[in-house]
Amino acid sequence: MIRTVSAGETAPTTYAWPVQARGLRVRAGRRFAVDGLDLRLGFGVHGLLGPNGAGKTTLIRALATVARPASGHLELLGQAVDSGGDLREVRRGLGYLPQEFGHYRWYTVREFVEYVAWLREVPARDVPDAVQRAIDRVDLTSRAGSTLRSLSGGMLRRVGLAQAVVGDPTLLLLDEPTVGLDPEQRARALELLRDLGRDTCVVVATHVVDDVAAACTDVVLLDAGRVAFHGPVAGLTAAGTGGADPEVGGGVLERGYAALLRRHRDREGSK
Amino acid sequence: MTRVKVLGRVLLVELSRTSVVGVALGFLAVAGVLLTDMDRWSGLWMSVVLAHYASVGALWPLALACGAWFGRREAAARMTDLVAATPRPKPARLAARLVTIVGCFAGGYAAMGVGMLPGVWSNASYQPPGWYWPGLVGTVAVAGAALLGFGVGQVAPSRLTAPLLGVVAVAVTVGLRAVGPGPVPLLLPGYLGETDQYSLLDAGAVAGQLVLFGAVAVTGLVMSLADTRQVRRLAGVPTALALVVALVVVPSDGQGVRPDPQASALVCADGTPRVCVVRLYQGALPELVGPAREALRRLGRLPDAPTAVVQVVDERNDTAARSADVVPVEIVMFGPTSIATGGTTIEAMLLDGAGTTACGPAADDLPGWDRLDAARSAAGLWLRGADPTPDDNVSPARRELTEAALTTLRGLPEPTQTARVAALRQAALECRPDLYEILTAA
Repeated sequence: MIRTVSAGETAPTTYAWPVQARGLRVRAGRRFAVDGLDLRLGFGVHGLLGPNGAGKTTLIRALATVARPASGHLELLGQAVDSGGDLREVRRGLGYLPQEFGHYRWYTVREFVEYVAWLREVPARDVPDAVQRAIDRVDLTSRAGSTLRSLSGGMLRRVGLAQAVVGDPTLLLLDEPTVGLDPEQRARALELLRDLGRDTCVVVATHVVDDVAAACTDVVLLDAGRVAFHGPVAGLTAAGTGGADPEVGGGVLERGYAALLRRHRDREGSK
Repeated sequence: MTRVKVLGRVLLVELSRTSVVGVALGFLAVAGVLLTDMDRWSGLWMSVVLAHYASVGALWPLALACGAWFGRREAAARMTDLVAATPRPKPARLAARLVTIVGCFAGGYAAMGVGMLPGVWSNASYQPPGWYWPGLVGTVAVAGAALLGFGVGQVAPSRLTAPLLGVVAVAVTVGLRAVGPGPVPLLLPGYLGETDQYSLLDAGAVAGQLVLFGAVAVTGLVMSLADTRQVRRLAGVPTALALVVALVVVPSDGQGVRPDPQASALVCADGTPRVCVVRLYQGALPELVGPAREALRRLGRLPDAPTAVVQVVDERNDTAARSADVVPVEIVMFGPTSIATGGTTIEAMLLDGAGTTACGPAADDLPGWDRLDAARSAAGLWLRGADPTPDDNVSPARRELTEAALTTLRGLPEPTQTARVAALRQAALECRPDLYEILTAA
């Protein structure tokens, strides 16, 4: 599909890292779900892994400017967002699929994606094309006129993806994007993520280690609100093959995941 | 242009994909039922606009609850996180929704009022000053209730918020009405005290209500659009201040209307004998004048006959109703130029009781009422030289009494007949109960 490219899209970036956090602390209820996190993310697809309660969703919410950091420094797309202020410019560059994807049941797919494009302040003249492209990218072209209430869980997740990618955001935050997708849909979604990662900073929070291996350029392993490991996916594989723990089942990736977590906890415990 | 198109589409989707239009239509159906009154003649400005305004008393709890229901929509759809991450400011984001809701509820209410205007315009002979204020205040009240509901729905997006708000609103209505007499009930939407067709609006009551309901709308708007808790906390300030202002401004006697002397001023037909109606019913004068003069001519047979027909405004305290010189006429209109006569003619209506008004309530179960009524009918028939006609509204017993009285009367010598009808007229003016005996005594 041919489309016009705006000057904004071709303008050089003025920041080194789309996401930069130092000593970041974010509350989830009474506790700090993100607790002193240091992180730098460039363009590419970053898999956010970690056990339940590790702080993945809270971190994604902070990156989406929904949860305000309690302390520390957080810079998104070159703008500090930890002290509040006008977040409009940053939000224009954000695409977000929350863990719980709420939606208006009576809207059609096209109407909903269009509504989010309007909320995201996608330039009015670009809205029709941007909406169509987003719907095409998630293979919902034939269901564009269907109401959301008539869609299956997997299709709804794809609508969630479509609304997140509409308008080509620079920073794309996806919380469990492949939940509910069948194997074929999942493969297509991962392909889409790889494609997006070429010129976008995509952060994918997931429980599925295989998804990380299939689509991500690097992996961020969180534990108790801190980074346990941050490196290429190969690092996960290496940890799973070298000195594998015989007590841990699963494939190489799962063993690597468990080994890296254990190492981190040992380190933290010895401090 | 493209921006307008996209915004228009957002608005259109909002209208077509939500229940707001359906709910607003239900709201208007309730308003329609409240406003339907087959007995009300559309030629009376104040009756029409005050009935329209009074419906707000039942509509504002509905608007409040509906506003709350739509206010929780984002939270109900679990869209809060998703929209919080988008750049469009809250006022711009909610503008389409607020315009839709206020437009559907307040606009619908106002449109109903506007829809009633052509009927009044074409039938009314007197337009009271400030007739448009109740409609305006009502529109602001409905808008304020919808906005306040929306704001509360945003702040407390529970499923129970809307029904609870509706119940609270009804409780407030009942509670404040029970507080009266005094200025407090005048703080309620749709309430202006005891009103009638001769009412004139009190400027203080209108100003107080307008300020209060406008402030409620501002409070709702601030609650709906505020991004921070600090701003939201200040949302109640305009309403609190307006409440104080309203209590100072509205009349302390709790009456939001005053009698309009212009509306009840007499307007008389050219020529003699005198036939007069109040200005509000000036349109009925051409229909009345002919039969009225004919009735006066017939009454001229009696000694000390009345010389004028004058409309009675209030039977209980109008001196014309009991004046020997005047035939009182009570006018009820059922069409643009039709005086309701209850199945008879205007002349017959005037001559009933030899040109007097019946005393006390016209209740069939009143002891002796049949005899009183029969005597009054017989006097009227005697004056017209007519006989009783079958009438569905009259019981057979009463018709028999009438016929018997008329036969007895006509069997007497001519001067006696005249003297007895004159005596009946005098007794009726004094509200005596022995009218039948006066007419038929041996």
